Amino acid sequence: MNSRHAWCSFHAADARFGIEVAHVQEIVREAAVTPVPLGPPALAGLMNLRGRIVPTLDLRALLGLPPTDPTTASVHVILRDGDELVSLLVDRIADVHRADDDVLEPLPATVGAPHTAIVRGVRHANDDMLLVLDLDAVLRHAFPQTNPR
Amino acid sequence: MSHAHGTPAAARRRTYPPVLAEDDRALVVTHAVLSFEDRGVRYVVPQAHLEEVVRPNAQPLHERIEHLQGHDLFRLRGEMLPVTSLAHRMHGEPVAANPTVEPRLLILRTEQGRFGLVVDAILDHEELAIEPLPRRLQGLPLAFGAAVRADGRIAIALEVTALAQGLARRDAHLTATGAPPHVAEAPQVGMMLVRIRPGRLAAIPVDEVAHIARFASRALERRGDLELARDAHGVLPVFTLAQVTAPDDDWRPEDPDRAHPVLVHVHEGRRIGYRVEAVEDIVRVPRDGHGDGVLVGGAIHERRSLATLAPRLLREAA
Repeated sequence: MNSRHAWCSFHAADARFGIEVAHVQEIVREAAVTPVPLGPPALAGLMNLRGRIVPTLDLRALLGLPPTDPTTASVHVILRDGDELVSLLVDRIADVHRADDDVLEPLPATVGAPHTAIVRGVRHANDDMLLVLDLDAVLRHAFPQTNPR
Repeated sequence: MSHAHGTPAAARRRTYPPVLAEDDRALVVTHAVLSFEDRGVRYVVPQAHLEEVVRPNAQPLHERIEHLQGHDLFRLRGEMLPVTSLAHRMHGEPVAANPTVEPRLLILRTEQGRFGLVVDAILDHEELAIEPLPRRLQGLPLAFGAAVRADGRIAIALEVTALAQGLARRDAHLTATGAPPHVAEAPQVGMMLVRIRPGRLAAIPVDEVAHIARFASRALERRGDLELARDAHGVLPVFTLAQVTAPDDDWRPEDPDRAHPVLVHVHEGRRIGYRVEAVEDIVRVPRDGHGDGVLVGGAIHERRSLATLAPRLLREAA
């Protein structure tokens, strides 16, 4: 199957999200996360990825929900952030959504912040809705104080 | 936009050696640190800031903390020191409020003075490569870096100067409000408290310890009576401190696979290692007090000098 576009999809807080596979380096399960004192609210902490220290964002916290329970199984989606990496903590990983087009529909009007701040648009697959994340917006939202370079 | 990282203010905060050349992310330097645990999270502070570790004796630490004008204070040998904890700084929780542990109090020094940090447990004195925080997190107030420990867990390197901010200044107003003025300090020296074998504690000047290595007996080479370790700097003769300070003492580590601390001392450019059972604490004591001993927490420990022992042992090693 040679679809031109693909999104890695995953679940968090009963919704299905996706992000372009080009942003995704790898998926990691069950990595310990060390909290950072006085870090931004969406920062779960730091994880050790084969000796590399990677900041970990909690998608639930990004959505304004109570943070992921550290004792429950969760999955790290490792994303490329320039020459660095950022991990996105999600409830569970789903399939790769493929399509020949990358057309996104706007978010339903009933959806408010913070979804509107970090979701680029929506794709429909069968009966399911895929909320496509905007990585730059996610990083701006999570790290409002930092230099994006 | 960032205004914390890379500013002159951020650069000024760092008072210890060059962990972070601000714009050189490739630079990673190993640092002598004290690692500790608090609420299940591991942290390190540079040894350069550490004066001593206070253990609560009969009276729990939280009962020894006094409150004055909204500040928490601890009376240490007649001096009132401001104290804080990470849970207090992060969540406003009372200092030393965790009932599940017997906390320790780190006495830390900054240019602004000394203060106490209450922690759940001391882990180790060790050498760790501290990396700058990832770019997105640089400029956070309390952390300046992180290290991956040997067990794969990450420890957060704390910005000691920032921890001290907002604490009571002893000389600012405490003496003016009726609190006892601090005792004029006699010249003090940092001492490393080591268990040189089970049942024998000794105090060794911190200045005499270049760094602490760890070797298992099985990793040492034997040449006659001599034991040698090899590390990145070459060959290191290793002596057992219990034996060289008491010739009749034949203590050796029982488990040849268990790593023991080796205090590395440098004498006239030559290295010598002193194996001990464990490193317990760093304390500050009067430079010339208590004769041959050092009084810590009511007990007197023998005072030892690695420098005095070195010439004879180096002759043996040669």
